[in-house]
Amino acid sequence: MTSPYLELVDIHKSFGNSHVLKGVTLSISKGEFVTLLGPSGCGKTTTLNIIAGLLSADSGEIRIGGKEMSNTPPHKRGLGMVFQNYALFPHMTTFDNIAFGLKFLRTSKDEVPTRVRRVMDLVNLQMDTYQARYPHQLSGGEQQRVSLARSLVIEPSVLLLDEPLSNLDAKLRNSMRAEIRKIQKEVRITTVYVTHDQEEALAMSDRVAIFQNGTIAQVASPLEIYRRPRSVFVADFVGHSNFIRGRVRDVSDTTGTVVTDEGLAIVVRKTDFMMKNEPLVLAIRAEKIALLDKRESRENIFEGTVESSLYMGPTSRITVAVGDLRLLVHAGGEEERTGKMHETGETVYVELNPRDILVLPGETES
Amino acid sequence: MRIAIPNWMLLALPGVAVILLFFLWPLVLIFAYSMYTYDPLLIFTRTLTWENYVKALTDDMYVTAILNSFQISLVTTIATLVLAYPMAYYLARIESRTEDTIVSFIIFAPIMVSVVVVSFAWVILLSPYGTVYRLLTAFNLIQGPFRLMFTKEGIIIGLTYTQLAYMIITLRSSLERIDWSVVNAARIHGANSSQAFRQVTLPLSLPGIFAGSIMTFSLSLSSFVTPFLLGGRMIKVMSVIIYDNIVSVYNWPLGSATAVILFVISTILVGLFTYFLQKTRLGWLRT
Repeated sequence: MTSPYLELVDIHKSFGNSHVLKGVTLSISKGEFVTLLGPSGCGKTTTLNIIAGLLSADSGEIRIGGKEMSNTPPHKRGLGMVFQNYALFPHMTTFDNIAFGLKFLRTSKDEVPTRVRRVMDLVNLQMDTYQARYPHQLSGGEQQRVSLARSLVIEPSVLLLDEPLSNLDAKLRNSMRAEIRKIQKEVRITTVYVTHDQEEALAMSDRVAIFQNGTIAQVASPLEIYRRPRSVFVADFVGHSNFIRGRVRDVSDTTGTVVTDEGLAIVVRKTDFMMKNEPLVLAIRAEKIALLDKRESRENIFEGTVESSLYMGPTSRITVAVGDLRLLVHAGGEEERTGKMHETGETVYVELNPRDILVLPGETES
Repeated sequence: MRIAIPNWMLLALPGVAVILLFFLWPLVLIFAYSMYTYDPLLIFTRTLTWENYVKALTDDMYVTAILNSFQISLVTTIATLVLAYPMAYYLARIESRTEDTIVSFIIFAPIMVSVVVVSFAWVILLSPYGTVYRLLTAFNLIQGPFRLMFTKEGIIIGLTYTQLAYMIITLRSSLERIDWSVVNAARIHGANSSQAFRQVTLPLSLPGIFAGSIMTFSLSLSSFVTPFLLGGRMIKVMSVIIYDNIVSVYNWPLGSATAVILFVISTILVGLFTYFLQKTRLGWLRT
C-alpha cells in the first residue's frame, strides 16, 4: 500500500449530549475510492463534514497530503464536494455553477471556458445544450452531473460525495454508479463516498469503511468485507446471513464443534479465539446453504422442514426449520434444473459446509 | 346553459365585494373630488378643473412635501434594510426554540403597541433636552444645541423603528428558504465566508430584500402618525398635507389632488421597481 494521503486520526465529535464520533481513524491512499457505509446516524456524514471543514472535530487530527487541516477553513482545503440534494446555485446558469470555483483560483479569463468544456465532456454534458440553463431547468440526473463537474473543475485534492445518488430513480442510479467510478478512475482522484446503500458501496469502492455507532467496525476491500466480515454487525449489514448462536464444545487442531442454543452440533474450522465453552456466533450466508433431497454422509447435514418458499426468478428464498432453528436459504438454479419447487412442509436436508461458516466472536454489545 | 363557478371563487366573493365597496369606490370619489372646484363655503362645486393639480405640483410647499416624503421614505427603507438584515440572518439561523421565542418577542413587541404610543415615546427621547440629548452630552459626544425633533432625521429614526419588525419578518422568511448546503458548496469550492455571502446568500435573499423594501417604502410614504408627531408643523410630508387640507382647511379638492398624486407616483414607482427586478435579477426564480 502506498503512503496515506488523507488521514483521520482518532476523531471525536459530540453534539450536545450525543457522542456522534467516538474515535474514527482512517487512512486513504492517493487515488483511492473509499466508501463510508453505515445506517443513518452512525456518523458517516459527520465524518465527511469534518473532512470538508464544515464541522470541526472536538479532538483528533485530519491530514491531507501530510498537512494538518483541523484549523484550515473549508475554502483553503482544496476539496470538491457533491451533495445529496446537489446544492447547485439556483441563481446561476450551468456554466456559472461549474465555473464557480475557478474565480478563486485566479484562472485566466480565456482558460475558464476551456476548463468548463473539459469537465462537461468528462461528465457527459453537452456544453452548447446545457451551459445557459438554470438548475431548475435540469433533471435530477443532469443536476448531479453539473454538481460533479463543479467539483472536478477545480481539480481538488480530494473529492467528497455525500449520498449523491439517493435522490435518483433506481435505473439512473445504476448507470450513474458506473459513470462516477469511471470518471474517478480517469482523473485518479482520491475519493470519499458516503452511502447507506451496501450494494453501491460494494460496487464502486476500492475499500469500504463500515461505520457502527460512531466508530469504524471494519475497513477492507468489498470482497474482503463480504467474505470475511469481522463482526456480526458487518456480516449483517452486508448481504443476507443466518446467525447461529452457540458455545464451543470441543476444539481439535483444525476444527471445533459448536453446540447451538437450539442444540445442534455444528463442525466449524478452528479460529484463534475459539476456546472451550466460549460463546460464539456462526454466520452463514443464505446463498451458501445447500438444500439436499436425502441425507448424505458428510458433516453438518441436518434434517429440516420447509416453512415457506418464495420463487424470485434467479433465486428462491426458502425458510427451513431445523428443530427450533430457522435458516434462510437462497437456493439458486435448482428449481430451474429440476423443474420442481420446494413445497411448504416438505422435508429437506440442509448442508452447512464448514468452509462457508464464519466464526465470529460472541457479541459484547449490539 | 349554467355557468360553472368554482367554489373557491364563491368564497372569495365577500372579500372582493368589500374591496370594491370600501377601497375602489372611495378611490373613484377622490379622483372625482380632485377635479372639482374649491369653494370656501360649499367646500366644492361640481365644476371640473385642473387647478388643484396645478397648485399641488407647482406650489413650493407642496413640491417640498412631495420631495420630503420620498426622501424620508427612501432613507428609512435603506436604514431599515441595513439594520434588519443582520437580525433576520441571526433569527434564520437560530437553532434553539427558546432563544427564538425570546428574541422574536423582543423584536416584535414594538408592533404590538400602538404607533401613537411608540411615536410619543420617540418625542420624549428626541426632544431638545430629552433622553438622547442627555446621554450624548453625558459622554461628551456632542456639545451645544441639539435638534432631532421636528427634523427629517427625527422622522426617519421614528419610522425606521416602527418598520424594523416588518422588514425582519420578511427577510427572515426569505433567508429561511435558503438551502444552506448551497452556501456550504460555495465555501468548499473556494469562497471565503464573505465571498460566499456576497455571491450566494445575498443574491438568494433578494426576493426578501425586494419584498421588504417595497413594503417599507410604501408604508413610510403613507405613514401619518409618525411624521405628524415627530415632524410637527416644521417638516411637511404629503400625508400630513392631505390631512390638513381635508380636516383643517376643508379644501377637499386640493387634498384629493394631493392624494391622487401620492397614489399615482407611489404606484408607478413600486410597479417599475417590481417589474425591473423581476426582469433582471430574479429571472432564475421558479414561477
